[in-house]
Amino acid sequence: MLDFCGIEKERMRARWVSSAEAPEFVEEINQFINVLKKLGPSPLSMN
Amino acid sequence: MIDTIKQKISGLLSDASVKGVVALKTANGHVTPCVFQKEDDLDMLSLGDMQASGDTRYPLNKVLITIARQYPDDVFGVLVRGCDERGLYTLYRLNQLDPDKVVPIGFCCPEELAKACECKKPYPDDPVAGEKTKEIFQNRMEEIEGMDISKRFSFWMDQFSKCIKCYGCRNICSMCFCRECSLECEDLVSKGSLPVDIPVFHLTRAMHMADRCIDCGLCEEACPSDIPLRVLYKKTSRIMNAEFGFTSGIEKQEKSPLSMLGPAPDN
Ligand code: SF4
Ligand code: SF4
Repeated sequence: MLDFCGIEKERMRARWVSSAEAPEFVEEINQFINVLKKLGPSPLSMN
Repeated sequence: MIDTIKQKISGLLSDASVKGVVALKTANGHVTPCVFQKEDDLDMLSLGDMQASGDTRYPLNKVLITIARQYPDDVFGVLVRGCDERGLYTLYRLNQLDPDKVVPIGFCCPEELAKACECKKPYPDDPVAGEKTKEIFQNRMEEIEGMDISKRFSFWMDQFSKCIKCYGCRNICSMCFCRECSLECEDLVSKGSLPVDIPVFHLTRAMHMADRCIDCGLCEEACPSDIPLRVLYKKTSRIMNAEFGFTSGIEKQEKSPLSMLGPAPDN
């Protein structure tokens, strides 16, 4: 739906990480940060 | 057509198989919803729009839900077009109406109206009157999908920013029956200010319509700002269909993949 409205779908991510899996969580967030850095500011923030 | 329907309603009222029939009447030059309880009143019966979708199509199912909540033990008839019947099936599934307490009186829409409404099933399964005509496909969704992503973004943001937050889209929709509405939750949609929070307001509604919207088009007709809302909900419905083979309102015994655990149901 985001894509249909012109917002890159990579800006949203849903993953299941157990509370016992701290390293996985960190890894996931770091990856996501990299993706977001590449995408730059959201078109919504410029509205 | 209207005489056949009058006869049918008369029959239901005279043998007391229903307590009343939710339909439309013409009064003082206007068409409005009405619960018919006496055969004598049937002179006023109206079927509403026949040529183009105008302002005489009403969410009769919504009226029926209100009545059924007050009189849960009584049986009511309801006048249904193809779209209304899709609505009934969805409301049965969502436990808002009991199929044993509803007698649908169906009629087919003429081709001209089906085209004007871009209707995907302009007839009920078991019509009392009228001839079934072909379903109409629309391509407005594909047009938007064909735009590049930044054009799509500005298209929708321009559309959404026209919203005056009148809640007309929600209020007219028979599938919007919740007593508490996310669109009134202040954590999502701020209260008492315009412009409305975009795209949150419209996307929240679109997500909630994913397995409900029966593509009747009433919301888009009601929107004073002419926002192409139906296209948005068509997209969510299309995703539901592509992922789960589910289309809201087409099968009477339908089950929604969103309201169960385990593998997707066979639809
Ligand atoms: S088309 Fe609009 S009014 Fe009709 S069911 Fe869908 S959301 Fe509701
Ligand atoms: S009917 Fe149109 S203007 Fe009114 S709240 Fe819905 S989208 Fe906004």
